[in-house]
Amino acid sequence: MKEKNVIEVKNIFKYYNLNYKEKSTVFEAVTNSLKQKPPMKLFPALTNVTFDVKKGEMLGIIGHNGSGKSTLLKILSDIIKPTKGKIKREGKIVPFLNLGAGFHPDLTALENVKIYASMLGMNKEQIEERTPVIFEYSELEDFKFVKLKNFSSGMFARLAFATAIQSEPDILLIDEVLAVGDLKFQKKCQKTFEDFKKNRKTIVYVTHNLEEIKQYCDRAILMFHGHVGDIGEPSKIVDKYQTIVEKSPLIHHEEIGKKISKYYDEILERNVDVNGILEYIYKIKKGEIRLEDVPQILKNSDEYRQKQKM
Amino acid sequence: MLEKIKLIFEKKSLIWILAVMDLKLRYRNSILGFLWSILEPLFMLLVLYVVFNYILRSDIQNYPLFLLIGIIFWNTFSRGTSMGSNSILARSGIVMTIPLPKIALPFSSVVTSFLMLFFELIIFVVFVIGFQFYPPFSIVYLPLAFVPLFILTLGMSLSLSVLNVMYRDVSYIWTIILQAGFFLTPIIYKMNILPETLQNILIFNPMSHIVIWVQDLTIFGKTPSMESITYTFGSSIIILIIGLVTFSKLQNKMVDKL
Repeated sequence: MKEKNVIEVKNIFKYYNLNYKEKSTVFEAVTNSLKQKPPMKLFPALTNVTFDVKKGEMLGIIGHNGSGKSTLLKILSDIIKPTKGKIKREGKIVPFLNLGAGFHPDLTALENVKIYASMLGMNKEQIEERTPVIFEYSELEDFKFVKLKNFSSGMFARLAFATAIQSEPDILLIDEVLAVGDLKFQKKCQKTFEDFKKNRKTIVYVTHNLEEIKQYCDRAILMFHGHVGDIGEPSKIVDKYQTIVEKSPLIHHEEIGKKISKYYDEILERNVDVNGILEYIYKIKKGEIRLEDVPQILKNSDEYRQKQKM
Repeated sequence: MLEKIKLIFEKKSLIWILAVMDLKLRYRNSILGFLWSILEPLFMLLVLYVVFNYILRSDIQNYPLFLLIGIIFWNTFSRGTSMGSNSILARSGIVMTIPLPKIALPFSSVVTSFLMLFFELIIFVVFVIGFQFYPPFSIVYLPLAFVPLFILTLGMSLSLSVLNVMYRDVSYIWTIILQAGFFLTPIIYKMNILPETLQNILIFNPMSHIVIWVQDLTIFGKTPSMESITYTFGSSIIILIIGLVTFSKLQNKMVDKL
């Protein structure tokens, strides 16, 4: 049976201007308007990202640090807007991105649940009705009137997650925050994921726990320097990720890293797909080609492209 | 624009919960707690009363009450806008992780400020009884002043909250403007002691109108002129529209700067 797409992401680009001073002031704005502007230095956080998520699916996202996983989730949850590209969503999206946001250490657990729930879009009646369920699920009934600053990070995660799933999401976006829970809670989360699937709800799950990806996800995406490196069968994607990044940290290795990243910039300038590079790294690790050949091969393909253009 | 207003009504429980949380946090950690909200304007009143009644010799009748009502309404504006200007920056963690309508944040600051206004008005009533002052009938029109005050405070807060994210010194600049504004609004004096040219300039400030209204309504038994009502409502609504436009224009750009 063909499933309907609940999220469609088409050619998303997200650039950050690195020359943009983050903490600019009115004073600077006035003085800088007299000076010449420094050239924009754009950092591509996401480049040409295209994929879709089907209803009832659990989609895993893996990738190295800074590969754009979190940026992607923020764009999916409409917290930030993409620079370019289109995105279609269907149903209520509840992101669970960062522990602690929306919680105040000086207020009690009960007060915090009310605030967080209302920020996730629940109305007063729903909050009244579901607060007991939230405390039951998180097994924190005895701590209702304890200030949040006395909570452990695990208790915190339990409370926040329990609130998030009670807000009736159609699509739940999770960014590797559940790892702080104990074994018992992780089991509970897993059961919740299964229930979600049964109820044909969708989960997009970012994690570094590759076993979880293999175990629960229906499909996985490999993010690589802001590109969708690959998408498909979780075990295949995990294997690719491990080969490229984990077993031998090729992109972090100084000498090789420099060569690749040097080339990576050039490639971006030429607006050539970076998946090529990813393939080469994969092949090198498998022993199919030698590293020294990479620049040559890429150059060849570059020339080939130019010839094609002419 | 209409969608925005509709959105605000849909999110009223969120705005209310945020505002109440703000209020709780303000007073939970101080020993005197809620008393501080009362002591602050009272202390200011005491200082100003001593200065103007004994040193500069003001001849306004019921001067302490005159001062108090002006201070209470001015404080609502200055507190609301300064809390509003920081409302997004202070909650950047929330804005970056939960997709909530950002307009709820400055809005809730203004609501918090108004909740405090109602507490302070209770103090005013206590003072009225303490001074054995019989307020004129016109005091029943006092709620009339809440409407433009709310619109004005909200409008300023909307602009300031996004601008403060774009340029981090906006809230400091605004603090200075508020300090000047306190003396350029007829709170501690009556407008008629000023030279006419200055009066003609200061009357452009809608806050001047609102403060004069509340003084007239509660103490002197005068009702505001139609002209003043029209101007105050008109200018407040214009400021609100500017705020809404600035907010919706900048709110997406602002997120990248948080």
